[in-house]
Amino acid sequence: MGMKIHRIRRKAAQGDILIRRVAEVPEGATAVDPENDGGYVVAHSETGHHHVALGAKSFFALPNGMQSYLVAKGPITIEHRRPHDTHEPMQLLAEEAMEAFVDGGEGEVIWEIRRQREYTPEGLRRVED
Amino acid sequence: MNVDKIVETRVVREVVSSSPLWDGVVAQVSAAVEARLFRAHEGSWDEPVTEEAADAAIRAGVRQGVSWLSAMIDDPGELWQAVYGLFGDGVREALRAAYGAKAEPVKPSQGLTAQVLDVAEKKLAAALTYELPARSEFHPGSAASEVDIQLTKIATDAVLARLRHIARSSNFGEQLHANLASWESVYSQAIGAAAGEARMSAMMDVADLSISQGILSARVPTPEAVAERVQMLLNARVRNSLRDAGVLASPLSTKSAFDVRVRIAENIRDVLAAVLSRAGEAGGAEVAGKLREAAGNEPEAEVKAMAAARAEAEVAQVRAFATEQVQANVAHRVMSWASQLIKNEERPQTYELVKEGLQAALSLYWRRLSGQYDSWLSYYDVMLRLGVKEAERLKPMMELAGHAGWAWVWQDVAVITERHSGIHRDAEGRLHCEDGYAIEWPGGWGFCVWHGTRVPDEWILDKASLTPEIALGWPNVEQRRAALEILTWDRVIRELGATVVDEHSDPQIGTLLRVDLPDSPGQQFLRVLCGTGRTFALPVPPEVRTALEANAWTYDVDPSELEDLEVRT
Repeated sequence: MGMKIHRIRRKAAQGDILIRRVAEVPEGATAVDPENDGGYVVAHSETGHHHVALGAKSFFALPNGMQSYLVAKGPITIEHRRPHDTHEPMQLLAEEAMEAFVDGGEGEVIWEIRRQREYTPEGLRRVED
Repeated sequence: MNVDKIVETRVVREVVSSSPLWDGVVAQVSAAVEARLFRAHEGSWDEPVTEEAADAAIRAGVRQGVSWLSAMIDDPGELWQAVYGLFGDGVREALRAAYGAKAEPVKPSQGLTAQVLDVAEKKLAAALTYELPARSEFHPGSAASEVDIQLTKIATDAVLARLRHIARSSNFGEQLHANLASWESVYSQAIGAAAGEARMSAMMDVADLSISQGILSARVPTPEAVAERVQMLLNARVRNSLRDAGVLASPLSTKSAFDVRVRIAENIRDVLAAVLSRAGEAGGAEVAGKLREAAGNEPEAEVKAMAAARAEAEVAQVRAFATEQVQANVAHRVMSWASQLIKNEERPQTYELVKEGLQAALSLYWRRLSGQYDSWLSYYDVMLRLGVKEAERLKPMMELAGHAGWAWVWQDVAVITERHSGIHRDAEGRLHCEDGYAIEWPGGWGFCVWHGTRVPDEWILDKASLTPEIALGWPNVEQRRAALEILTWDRVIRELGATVVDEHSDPQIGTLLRVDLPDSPGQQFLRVLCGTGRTFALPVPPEVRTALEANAWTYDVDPSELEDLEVRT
């Protein structure tokens, strides 16, 4: 579709998610199974327009539903799957860690996915589309 | 529905029963591969091609084969996706490669042949093992794996049909025939009922679970409570299941299913090898003639294909809406059955009756012809114009698509629905209408859509019913955005007396607004531009003071975190 791919080294936002590098997966996060295509849905949408991460080694989520963690051994691509008004895809690279990725290195990079929330008088609510 | 619109059922029935789709695809794909290989080997077109260009053409042909195979293994109804790939991608690339380079004529070489086989093998293996993890793994022996098997059968049949074709029309037929016979017996033993039946039973599994859980999980089993639970579960499950129907077949994770795929891959490789050597034979005059003719039309075909691709995308959107609506109707119908029955019956019997009702409703859904929504037909229309005569068998379906919407065809009677009577889009082709249904059918049924986002009918049809309060309080953020666009931000700010608390210089950080809503005084909103160029409103707590603070709050990060964002899409 000729869409631009943004290369991200540290931190970026894609619609209702914020992505940033963190040091480790926090305690309490549990592993999530990949989808059929090997990707991980990092943000589900009621209307089927998920944000999907391709190329991650594993994926963990906190029970609060607001934060989740991609474990990378190489570049990860984040896509927004929707036929219209689509967010441009981005590639998570972590420049200084690239050395660890090549030649079968053991290095790992952790990316945190933060879901956007909104305020209601009764409390917080995750932004849903 | 217009029951007076009864069509000639015999013709349609014949089309359905002869399953021409597969033959058509198989013939088309093999012709395309042959075309590219022939061109590469003979180099006898008016415009000579380089080895490089020929190689690219072959790769395109192989990719076409892979797309075709994926389409076979996926839901037949979703073929249009592969069709887009076949035409939009394959043809364009092959055209560029073949017509773009005009150097030395290419000579067939063993190296080239080996390379093609290598590429073909790798790509096919990749395609075949692409979506291995799986549903059937979690439900061994379930209807879902039955669907896998059935659709694999369809794919296998297609391969067999292709092989038969080769066997009939080539010198090395006998050998292939021998292989063919042994596979056929293996596969026919492994496979039972028709694919439609398997799909049906997969759906029944879903329904089964929804109903039993719905009845069991309603705390007080009043008809309303049960109905509500079942409705909820059904909606979610049926929707997901239907949406996933296209990939239901993909996750072949069991060992045996994997073996079947590998076998298919091996067979395809044999087919390619056969096609390759045949293309190398001097006696391919008949093929050559046909291909030259087709090649003459290729630029025209490309234009048509692009138009078709655009139509595909638009039709797909319409179809998604229509499907959603029909699912809602199915669920509604089931619910009214459920609540009526539950009022009068004991539980076990009720369960059976509800199940029966659901089965009837679902069978209506699955036993349909999609008429104009069968957008994949446009591909065969192009093929027909290119002279692929197998596509002629689809003509009755094309005719149906030209005149009708969904249809149900039985032995002596057919129910044919009307096509939509109106459809409206915005400049980007998204469904959109500011003062009526974006898509409507005779009889006054339709959907309201705002620039591709489905919205409640009254927001469009009865503008006065949509107020700034409703808009800002709407739970779904996309629909909230649409509501605010319908009302316009100016009006919202004016009518609610909204005040700007803070405006950041970056519209993607946004503007913090304060609004006194009747039941929520001092409510704050962040009006923020999204990477897709649309403006959203997000409620934020009353204590935040700046737009930056508000934006950071939505992600639960420190405001300083937003200052060095690399990109926002």
